[in-house]
Amino acid sequence: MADVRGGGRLAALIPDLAVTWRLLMARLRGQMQYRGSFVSQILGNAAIGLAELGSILFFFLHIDELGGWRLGEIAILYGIATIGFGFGHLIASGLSGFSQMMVEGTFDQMLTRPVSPFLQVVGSDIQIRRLGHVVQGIVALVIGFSLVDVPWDPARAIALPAIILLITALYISLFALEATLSFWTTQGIEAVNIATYGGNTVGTYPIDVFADWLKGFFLFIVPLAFAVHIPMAWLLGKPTPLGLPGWVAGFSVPVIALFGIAIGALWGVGVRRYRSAGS
Amino acid sequence: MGRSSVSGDLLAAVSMTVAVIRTAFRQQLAYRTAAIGGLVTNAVFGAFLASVYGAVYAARGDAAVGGLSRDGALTYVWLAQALIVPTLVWGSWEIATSIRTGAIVAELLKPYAFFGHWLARDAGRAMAGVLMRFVPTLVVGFTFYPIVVPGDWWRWLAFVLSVIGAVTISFVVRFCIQLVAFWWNDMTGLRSAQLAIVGFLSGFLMPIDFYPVWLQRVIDVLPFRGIIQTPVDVWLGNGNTWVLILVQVAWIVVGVAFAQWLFARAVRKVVVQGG
Repeated sequence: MADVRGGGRLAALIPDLAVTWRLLMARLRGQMQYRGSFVSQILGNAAIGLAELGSILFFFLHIDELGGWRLGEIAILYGIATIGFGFGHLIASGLSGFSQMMVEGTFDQMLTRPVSPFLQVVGSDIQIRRLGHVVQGIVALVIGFSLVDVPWDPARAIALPAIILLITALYISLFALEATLSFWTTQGIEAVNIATYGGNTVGTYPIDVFADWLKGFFLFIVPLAFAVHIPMAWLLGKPTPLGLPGWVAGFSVPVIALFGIAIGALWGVGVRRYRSAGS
Repeated sequence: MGRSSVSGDLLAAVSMTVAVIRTAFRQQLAYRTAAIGGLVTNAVFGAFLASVYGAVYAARGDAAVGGLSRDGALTYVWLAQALIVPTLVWGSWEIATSIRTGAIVAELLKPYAFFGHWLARDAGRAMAGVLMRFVPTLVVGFTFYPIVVPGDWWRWLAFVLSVIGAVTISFVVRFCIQLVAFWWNDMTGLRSAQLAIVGFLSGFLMPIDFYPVWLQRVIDVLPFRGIIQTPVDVWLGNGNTWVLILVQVAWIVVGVAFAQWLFARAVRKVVVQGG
C-alpha cells in the first residue's frame, strides 16, 4: 500500500505511539471495570508463580550450587528474567492474538487506517493479568537480594533496569516473530513457544547447565543468553557463562537490537505480501 | 423405548458408551499436525528439564534424592512430559464453556448420565493422547536419555492401570473445577489456580521426592499425586505398587461420589442466559 503519511517514518512514529498508548489505556480501564475478575486473575497467576518459584528453591534443599550459582543468585536471575518476560508478554498481548485477527479478517481494517499496522496490533489488546509475572519476579528479587552481596556501583545500578528492558525487548521481538509467521501459516505456530515460554524456563536457570545444542540455540539463534545470563553474570560479579571472555557482555545491546530489527524487517515483508482472505 | 429387560438397557448403555469413546478418539486423530507441533514442544521441554536434573545430580555426586536416582529423575522428566496430554495437567474447559454459553441445557435434556457421558468422552480423548503424544514423547526420551524401563511384565500391567487411574482422577478434578462455572461466570482466575494447585501437588512441577518431608506427608494424603507421581512411582518401582494403585482406586470412588453430589447441587443453580 502507498504510504499515506508521506513524511519521514520516524517523525510519524510519535503520533502513532500516542494513539497506541491511548488504545492500551482504554483497554486497561475496560478491564478494571471487572474488579473481581481482575483480582482473581492476578491471584491465580501469582499462585502459579509461587508454585514455580517454590519448586526451583526446593532444589537447594539437596544441593548448594547449580551450575555454579547459589540459591540467592538463582533467585535474582529468576526474578530479573521473569520481570522482563512479564513486561514483554504484557506489551505483546495484542501480538499473541494476531493469528486470530488473520483468521477473522480484522487485520484488513487496520491496513486502511493511517497508523502503523504493527502498533495497531500491539494496541489491540493488553492482558493486565500478565503483571502477575512481574509480581512473582519482585518476590524472587526480594529473596535473592537478601541473600546475596551484590558488588553495587553506579554502572550496576544503571544496568539493572537496562537488563530488564533488554529482556522485555527480546520477548516482544519473539512474540512479534510468532505473529509474523501467521502471514505464512496459522498452523503449528506453537513451535515458537519453544523460544518464548521455553526461553522463560531457560532464562531462570544458569545457561551452563543446558545441553550443548540448547546453549547454541539460545546464544546464536534466539540470543537469550545475551539478554539474561551474560549481563546478569557480570552484574553479580560472576565469571562469564559458557567460558566466554568478559567483553561479550558489551555486545548484549547491539545483539538484541539486531535481533529486533531483523524481526521487524520480516514483519515488513509479511505485511507487503499479505493478501486478504476476503470477507 | 419399550425395552423392559435390565440386560437390554445395560447393553444399550454399554454400546452407547463405546460409541462415545470411539467418536472422541477419532476426533482427536484429526489433529495430527498439531500433535507433531506439540510433540516437538514436549521433547524440547523434556531436554530442558533433563539438563537441569542432570546438573542437580552432578552437584550431588549422583547421590539419590529420597528414593529417586539420577536415571530415575530423568525417567520422571520424560514420563511427566508424556503424561501432560493424556491427563490434561493444564485443565480442560469444555464443560465450563457449555455452562457459560447455556449449551448445557440441551445436554441435560438428553437421556444419558451427564458425568458418565463426559467421562467416556475424556476416555476416548485420553486414548488418542496416549497414542499420539505419550508414546512418541517417551520414544524420544528413550532414544536420547538413559530412561529406566520396567523389567517385569506385571509392572507394565500395573503401569497401564495406574495411567487409567491417573486419567480418571484428573477427569474428576477437572469436572469438579468446571462445575464452579455454575456459580461463577469468569473462569480465568480459576484456570490459573487449577494449574498452580494440580501442578504443584501432582508432582508435575517437580518430583515429590524433592519436597520437604512434611510437605511430602501432606501430599501423600491428597488425591492429586495420583495424576503424575503415582504412575511414575509405579513405573520406577518406588513404594508398594499395589498399595499405590489401591489408593488411586479409593480416591476415584470418593471423587466420583463427590462429583455426583456437587453436580446434583449445581444443576439446581442453572440459570439459562439468553434464549
